[in-house]
Amino acid sequence: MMRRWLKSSRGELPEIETDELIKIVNLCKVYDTGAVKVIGLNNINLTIKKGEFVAIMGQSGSGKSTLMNILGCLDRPVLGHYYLDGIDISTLNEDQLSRIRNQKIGFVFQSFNLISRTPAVKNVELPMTYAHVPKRLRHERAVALLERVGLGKRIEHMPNEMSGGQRQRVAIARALANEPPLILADEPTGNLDTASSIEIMELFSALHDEGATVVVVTHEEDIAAFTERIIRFRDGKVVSDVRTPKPARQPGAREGAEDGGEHPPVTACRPAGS
Amino acid sequence: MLLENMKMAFTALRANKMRAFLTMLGIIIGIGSVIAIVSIGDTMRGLFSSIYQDIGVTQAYLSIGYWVDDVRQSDYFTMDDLSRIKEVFGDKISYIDSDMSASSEAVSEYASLKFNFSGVDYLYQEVQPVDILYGRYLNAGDIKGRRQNAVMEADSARRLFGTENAVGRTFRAEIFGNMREYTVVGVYQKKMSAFQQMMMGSGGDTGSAFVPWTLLTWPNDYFYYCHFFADTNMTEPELNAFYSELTAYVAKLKDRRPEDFRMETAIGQMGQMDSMMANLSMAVGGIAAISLIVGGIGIMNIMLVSVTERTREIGIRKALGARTRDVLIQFLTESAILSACGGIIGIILGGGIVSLAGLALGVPTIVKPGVVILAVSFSAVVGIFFGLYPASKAAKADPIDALRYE
Repeated sequence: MMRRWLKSSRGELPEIETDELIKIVNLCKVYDTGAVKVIGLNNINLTIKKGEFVAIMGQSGSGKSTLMNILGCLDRPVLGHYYLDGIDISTLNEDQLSRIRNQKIGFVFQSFNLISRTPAVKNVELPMTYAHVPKRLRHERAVALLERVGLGKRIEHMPNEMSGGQRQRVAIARALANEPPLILADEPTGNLDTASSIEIMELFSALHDEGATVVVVTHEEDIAAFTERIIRFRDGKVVSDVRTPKPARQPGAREGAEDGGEHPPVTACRPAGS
Repeated sequence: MLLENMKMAFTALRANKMRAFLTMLGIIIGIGSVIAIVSIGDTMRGLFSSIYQDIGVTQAYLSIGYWVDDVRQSDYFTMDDLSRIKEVFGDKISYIDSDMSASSEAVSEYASLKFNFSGVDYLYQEVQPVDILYGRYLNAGDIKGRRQNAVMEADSARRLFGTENAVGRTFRAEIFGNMREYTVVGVYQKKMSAFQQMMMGSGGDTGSAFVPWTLLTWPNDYFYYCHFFADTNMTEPELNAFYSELTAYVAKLKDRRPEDFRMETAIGQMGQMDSMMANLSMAVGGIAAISLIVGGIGIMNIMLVSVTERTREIGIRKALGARTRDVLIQFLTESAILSACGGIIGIILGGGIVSLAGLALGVPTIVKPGVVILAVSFSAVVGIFFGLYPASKAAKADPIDALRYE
């Protein structure tokens, strides 16, 4: 039901069949700070296929945040093209970008970015609200997603009543709300302790095993080690791109799920088109 | 989605109850005072119109204009003129007299009291009825025979004779230079509302009595006014047409132009009074409405604070797919609700004040639904207008900067 609904409401976005989820061609981004022009990204070429689990690494100022903003359709390139799921982002207007962010991207931020004084379930519903998903369906799906990330017993908790790890799991559930083809995580473990960090990365791994495309921006090697491809940036350029494939793991065999026990995989979470 | 937005707005406002209330206070006071002032005005207009109903809306006075320089004796009315008018316009005039009255000291064997004697026809009881407590009203014979009979108000009778039932008692009074003896043939009582008494006075120390109007015109038989009541079945345009017709007839009778005569009508006065009251309450209400602008600025101020405080939330919403218009509508809804809630509380407050004042004065109050609707819509418009700038500021926020905002 959800799938059919999303398809019909997505009318204005072209559906292009491609297995290249992200394709970046000769992309440049220059920051004009008045007196000096700072080059954020210098002629980047990059392709990420559907189902990949990628880490983007680099020190601060390396351009990884700039790339993150562009990948997340929060910012537009100055030169070059960025195709997300076959759509040329550089040609879209503000409202179309909002729609892309709503339908194609699930954000996970370093500082969680949940709406305060709003229960977990309402936070997860938010992207679906902007997609005009009917109320009941929205609620059911938000509850299912919270159960999926192991917070089935905390759906009515406020963000300030939860630990960092729990908050980040709410954020992940929210990222999955509209079944976006791309999960984009910006330093998702930056504000977490080691145990919580591992939990979160395990969750991403599990999502990846279920077929999701996950891109994690990080500067920590042990976080990047969870992924299967590490792209390193320095001074706005790609300096290395290494694939480290791992054997597929069994869904449901994750560790450290808060409520314990097994959670059935939410098969509907598979990205569109897979 | 609208419902969704309203829910979201209520949640946001509940988070800062005190602040929301203080922000609303400007609108509450503004709307409350506008409602109170306009409703008090409407109530007064209602009361005046009821007074005019009581004294007869078809009542009018015709006289030679005060602007006419060469007034001749023939410009005044005689009893013959009145009979002629009654003959010609009989079906449209239900009452006619000379509107003569006299103030004089009445002396009985018991006491003396200053009196106001009104000269009336016996038909006056039909157009301005009073309750006869004892005896009878003036009759046709009294009028025709110029009998020195009087119908006295009950309270005056008690003060002049020591008893309300003064039928058959006599008093002496000097009217227009003639000291005569009058006989009380009836005693009446006129009921007045508390407000009417307040506005018109209960007569105070002066007594009042009706005497035949023919007594007061005699002996010179000339008088300034033709005072009449037109038939009450006429509509306002019909009445006005009749008034001009009568003026034209009298002017012709007196060999003058119609514009030389002055027709003072109750409906004309009523209209003047009504529009004066309406203008007055509009003006004062307008001044009170200025406080709404002040309230609106308060809303704008707090919304700007709110937008700044919630910059990060705006960033999150935008990252999750909120369009510029979604954020705009969210904040506009919030300010509109803030203002409309203030408006509703203001209406309750203003309406309450008016009802209490009405209760205290013992008059029925009028709060027109149109004014209430106008006030609520106006307060919502104030909310939207003053919310526009903060909301557009929120909507235009760059998601990257907004997400980074601490």
